[in-house]
Formats: sequence, C-alpha cells, structure tokens
Amino acid sequence: MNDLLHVLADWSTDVRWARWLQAIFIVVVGVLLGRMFARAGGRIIERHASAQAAMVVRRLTTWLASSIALVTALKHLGFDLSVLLGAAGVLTVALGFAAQTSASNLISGLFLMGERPFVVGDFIEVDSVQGDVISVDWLSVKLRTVNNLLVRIPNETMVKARVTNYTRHPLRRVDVEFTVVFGTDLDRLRQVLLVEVDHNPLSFDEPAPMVQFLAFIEGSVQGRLCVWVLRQNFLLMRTELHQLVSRVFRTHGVQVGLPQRMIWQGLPPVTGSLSALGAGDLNRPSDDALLDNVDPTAGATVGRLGLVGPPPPQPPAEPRGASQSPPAGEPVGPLSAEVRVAASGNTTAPKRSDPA
Amino acid sequence: MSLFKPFGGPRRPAESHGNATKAAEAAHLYGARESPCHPDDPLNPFWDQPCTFAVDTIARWQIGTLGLWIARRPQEWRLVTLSEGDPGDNRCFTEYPARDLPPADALVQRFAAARLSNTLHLGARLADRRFVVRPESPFELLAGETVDLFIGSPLWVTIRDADHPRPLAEAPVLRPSDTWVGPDPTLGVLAYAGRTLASMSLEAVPRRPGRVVTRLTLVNRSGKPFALHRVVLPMPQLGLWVAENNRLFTDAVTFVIGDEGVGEVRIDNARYDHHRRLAEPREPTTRGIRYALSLLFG
Repeated sequence: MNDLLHVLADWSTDVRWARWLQAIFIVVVGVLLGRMFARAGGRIIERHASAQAAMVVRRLTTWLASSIALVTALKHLGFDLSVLLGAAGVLTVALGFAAQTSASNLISGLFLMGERPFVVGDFIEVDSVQGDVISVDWLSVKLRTVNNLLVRIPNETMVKARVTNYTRHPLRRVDVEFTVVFGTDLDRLRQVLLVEVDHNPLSFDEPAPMVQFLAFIEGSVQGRLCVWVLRQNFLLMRTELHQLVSRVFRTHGVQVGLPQRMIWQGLPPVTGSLSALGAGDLNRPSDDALLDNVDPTAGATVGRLGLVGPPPPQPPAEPRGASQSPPAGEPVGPLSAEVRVAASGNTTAPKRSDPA
Repeated sequence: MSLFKPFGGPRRPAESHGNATKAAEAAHLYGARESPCHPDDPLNPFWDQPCTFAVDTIARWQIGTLGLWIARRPQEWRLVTLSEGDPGDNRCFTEYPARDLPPADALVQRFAAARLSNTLHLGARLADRRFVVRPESPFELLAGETVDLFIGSPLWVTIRDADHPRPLAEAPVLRPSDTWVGPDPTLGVLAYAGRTLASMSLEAVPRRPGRVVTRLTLVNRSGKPFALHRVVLPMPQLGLWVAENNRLFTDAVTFVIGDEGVGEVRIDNARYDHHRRLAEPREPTTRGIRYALSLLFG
C-alpha cells in the first residue's frame, strides 16, 4: 500500500501530465478558434464573393488553424519537430505511392477552385451527366441531376473532361430546327416566323432572333429558328418555340420536309434537258454500271442514285405508263408514306423515310 | 374561375341594384365613370385613389390590353391579370361589380392577411428596367443642334392594400419585349425594348390608356451629325407625373452627346412642377453622370 502511495505521489508531482493537459487544451482551443475564424471569414467572403469561395476559405482556415494548434501542442510536449518532419517526409512518400489517385484528385481540386469553370449552384454537363453543382470538395465534385440523383465525379475526371456550364452567362440562345419541303416560299416562312417570335415578350429584341436555312437534304430544306432569351426562360421558350413553329406550319400550310429518296428502277429515262446539257444517252449503260456487272435479278437494284436493296415485288403486268405513281417532280404530301418512284414508272415501293 | 365563382350569382349584391345605383356606387368607389372611357380621358384620375370594396365583390379594370379582376374575400384579395389583344387596344373602363368574369383557366393570385383593409389603391409606376427604344425610321441629329423627342412607354399598375405599405402585385399594361444592353451576350444588363416614332411634338404621340410620355432632349455637342439608332431610357430612375389633362409624363431626360464617344445624362424632375407627382423613381436618381455613348444609345 505504501508503495502504491509513493508511486501516485511521484506521478502527481510529475509535471508531464500537466503538460499533456495543456497540449490537449491548446489543440481544442486551436480547433475551436479555427472554426470560429473559418465561419466568420466564410460569412464575409460569401457577402462579397461566391458560395464556393466562402467554402474554400472556411476549409483552408479550419485546416490551417488545426495544423498550427497541433504543431504548437507537440512542441509544448517537447517533441523535436525536425525529427517529426523527417518522419513526415518518409510518411509522405509512402502515402504518395499508396494514395496517388487521392493526391491527383486533391491537386485537381485546387486547380478547379483556382480556375473556377463553375461554382456551387451552376448547372453543368460533364460526360453526358447534367446537374446542379452542390459542392466542390477536395476530392470530388458533387452534382444533383434533374431527376434528383447525387452524382460524385472525381476532380481528376473534372479536370480532364469537357465541362459545359449552362449558367455562366445570363443569356442563352434557343435553337429550333425544322425541315420544310423543297419549293416552300422560304422568304415568306422566314418573315412569318420572325413576326410570330416578335410577339413573344420573352424573346430578346437584341440580340435579334433569326431564321437560318442550312442545307438541302433529301428533298427538304433544313432550317433553324434562333431566339435569344434570359437563361431562366430557356426551358419555357424552347417549348413555346416548338409550339410556335408547329402553329405556323399548320396555319400557313407549310409542309414538313420528310426525307425523300428517289429510287430508279432499272435505268432512268432520257430527258431532253440533260441531253442538251451533254449528259449523253442515259439509257446506255454507263461504264460504272458495266464495271459493277450487277445482275438486277440477283437481289439488288442499281440505279443512278445508289444501291437500295432488294427489288420490290413486281405488280401485275400493266401497260407501260399506266402506273399509279405520281409524275416526277411533283411534290409528295408531307405525311405520305409512299416512295415516289420516278423511273420508268412501272413499280412502286414502300418509302424509306425517317419519322419527322 | 372556380375561385371567383363562390361569390358569383346571388352573392353579388350590386347585381340586384338598379343601373343608377350601380353607377353611383362605381363613381363613389373609384371616382371614375363606369362606362368605357374615351382614350383622351383615360383612367388617370383614379391613379392612387382609394377604391373601397364590399366583401365578396369583384371589380374589373380594363386598361388597354391589361384586364384586372380584383375580388375582396374575407381575409384575402384575389387577383387575376390577363394581357391579351392588340397593343393598339384603346379599351379603358371599370366595372363594379364585374359583369364579365375572367376565363375559367386564368391564374388566380391570392393575398391573405389576418387583417386586411377594404380599400385598395391602384397605383402607377414606371418600368422596372431600362427601356430601349428604336426609331421607326432612321433619325439623325445635325451637329450642334438640340431637339426634343417625345417617347411613349407602358405603365406598370400596382395594387396595394391600404393597410399594407408594399404592393400586393404589379402588372404592366403592355409587357414589352426583353432585350439586352451590352457589347455582347456575356456583358450587359437586361432591359425592355420598344419602338418609337421619335415624335418632335407631344400632340403627335398617340394617346393610349396606361401609357406615359418621356420628353427626351438630345443635345449634340459633337462636331458631326449623330445617327440615333436606339436610345436607352433610365426608367427606374425616373419619377411619374400626371398633368392637368390627365396625361402622364416621366421626369424629363436630357442626353448630351459629346466628343470622343462620351455623353451625359441629366434627369430633370422640376420641369413639371405644375403637374401632380404620381410615383417616385424606383432607384436613386443620378444626375449629370458621364457615360460612354454606347450605354446611352446601345
């Protein structure tokens, strides 16, 4: 019993326990002060800058204060920090090998925070994932998709991937693409669309809306209606513009251009105009056709416009010229599902067309 | 119109009144005639005048293309705003009680409070953004010359309960198109767009209900003619006045076009001292500030 009392007395007189208590106190106070400063600094930064900048300041302050408190506490306990630093170097190398990915993400995160291609609250697209940025952390960026899923994307991926920020600029352009049949009065269509767009107050007067005609594709003219709107109105206007185009087409009798492909059964007819232009005798097999040496009865049809697959079933024999197919050059109804066969006119085949 | 329906029919007390009673009641409530107004005498007299409602009654205002239906229910106001028709619509009338109810699918806004007044103020304000107007035809001001242009723009109607300082709602008489004032779509400010005849006499500006006229003085102090393609009016910084003939005016604005692409804006709120001030500017007025001409003229 006496021995035990002696031990306790020695221990109680030892100053080491007091130093440990003081060290713990230093760490606790340091961490608390760090958090306090972080919160205050974050609040100030948030007032003058973005939420993301505030988050970075908060985290840096917390980590810095905690590190200072820890080092001070260790020094207070009498640890030789130079030894610790040497050990830390060895540890860093070991950790570096073990945590290459994390280190890469960490450094990428610093680049992201510095470059700021997006901030918390932006709506972005990364590798076909779209969502609101809800946090930019040391290792990853977290997105909330439109269907309320949380997607975590490593910072390294973010640095390498192509990122589209939809909310960086206040304005966006809504593009509505359409096709009309060849022969439509494009001047009139353009005028009508612009007048209709002008009636919508959400469409910007400046930059001005425009109608572009882009290409002739498979018997159609491809066009595009471009309207600038406020970013917040983008989705609404996209819907309204589609409705507008649909309404204009309906009320003005504009025919939607569906892909049309002319299939020549056998060889195309001779046309005077082509002959006059020096096209030669089109009934004479061309060199290409002779070289191809394709047997039309062997399962494929070759025409001037390409190889289009097996020949259609032959209708009952009719006098030449009695076909029901429309004459060449006559527009086909926009919703027609028939193929216009403008060859010698003795067959019809189902139209190969994509839905509008 | 289900939310308006419960107090339709027999619960619309004024319907059972005679025409004379109804007219008198309307005149008492609004200080304005009930029948459609002549465009030369729009509803200006009742701007900011108190309109007292009985509970479970509906009133209707038609100011140009803007239709307003306001209903007083116990502890709440109900409001329907509809904007439809041609911008040149000169309809201007009140109905109390409303003879025609809004369409059934119209959006009904409800404003509730534990204590509400039976009195409503229908106020007028100017646009909450800058207004960019383009002359209908090319306009050029010769060097060293000064001219006055009169430019019309739509009003915003504010609806305020007498016991509450903040308006319940605001609605433009005619919603102008959005536009952007800035060098490119990434840098600039949001504004409203409009067209102007750039008339040089007030009489030439068509009188329409719910419209206000801005007198813009252009002073060309540069040594060359100035082509006016568009002009950016600082509407949020302008106050609103009503003249004795009930015509509405904003504070007068002067743009001084200087050399080297710099101009100056002056806002004169003392020119209409003999008019009645109807509304203060939404933003503090800046006077004599020098701007790049691109900011003044887009």
